[in-house]
Amino acid sequence: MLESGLEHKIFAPSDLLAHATPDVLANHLPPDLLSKVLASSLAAGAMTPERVLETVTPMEMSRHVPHEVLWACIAAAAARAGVTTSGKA
Amino acid sequence: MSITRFFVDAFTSALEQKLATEADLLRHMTPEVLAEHLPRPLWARLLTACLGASRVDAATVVDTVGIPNLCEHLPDPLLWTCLAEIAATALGAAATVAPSARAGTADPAAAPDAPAPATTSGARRVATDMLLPPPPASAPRPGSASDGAGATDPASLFDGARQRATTRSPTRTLSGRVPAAGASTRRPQAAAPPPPATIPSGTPVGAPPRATSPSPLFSPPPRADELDFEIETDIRSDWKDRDAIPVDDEQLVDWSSSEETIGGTMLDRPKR
Repeated sequence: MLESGLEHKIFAPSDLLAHATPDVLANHLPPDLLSKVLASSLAAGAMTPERVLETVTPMEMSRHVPHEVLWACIAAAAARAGVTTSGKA
Repeated sequence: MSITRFFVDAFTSALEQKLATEADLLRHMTPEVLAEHLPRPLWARLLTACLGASRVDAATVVDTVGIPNLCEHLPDPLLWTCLAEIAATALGAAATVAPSARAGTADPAAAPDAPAPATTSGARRVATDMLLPPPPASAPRPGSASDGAGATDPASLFDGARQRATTRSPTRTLSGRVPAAGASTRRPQAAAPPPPATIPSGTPVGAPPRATSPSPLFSPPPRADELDFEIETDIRSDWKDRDAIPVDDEQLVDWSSSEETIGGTMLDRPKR
């Protein structure tokens, strides 16, 4: 779902990192992924959400980040897209 | 004793004094090390700072995490290794300049167009040079060209040594050994035949054997009938056949008149 949402621009990497905050990432990502994120950022000279997601792929994200956080990201994107307003009775 | 405070002061001072940069620290405090040892709240702070910064470099990491946190959480041996390298760099820079200044322009490393060596490798080179044993004795030393054997060819070196041997002492042997004490007083007749000449180890393969060339040092001993000088030490038995030489009494010395000599009466005592 994450990969599809990014591919179809339902949400952007920055939207994903708005939920998967640095605090969340720091507390749930394994050390090797953290080191890769920092190393790639040092090599590139900047740390951007796109670069973070290049290292922490959606697959890795879904493997380590709590699903509630990821679902909140997807739900917020759906709300922005207006697909959640059909529930009116 | 707080080694952490010592490390904090050392690294802070090193950065303030420009003895090291943040990049020097991160060569040891790699992202892998940071990921393994830094607590997650510090990682969260680091990720936040990096995501918000326009540029991420070593200074960003060190400034965000802070020297005290780095020194508190990273292993002491790693911190010491980093600090030792900083010290080696600082001292090595001075150590590599000093020999060049002493050597003057003769040192190729002091050439102005020569690339400046990396301070770290220079420090290691200086340290290893001081710890290395002296060069082997067979290696030609600078300044030894004055002895006439400046060439590096081992054969020419051996020739020069042999020429020097002829000027020093005729008793030197091919191997350069000096005969033992008393050997030079031996009679030529009693001289042992010279040992078989050996080819020096430095002679290149294929070179003509030098031992076959005539040498004044190692000519075979002359035969007894070829001797053209009188040998004083050759005591023969023909002296017994000569007539006695007449001696006057005035030529004799009266030893008994001396006070320091033993009188004849003492000698006449019977032995006990």
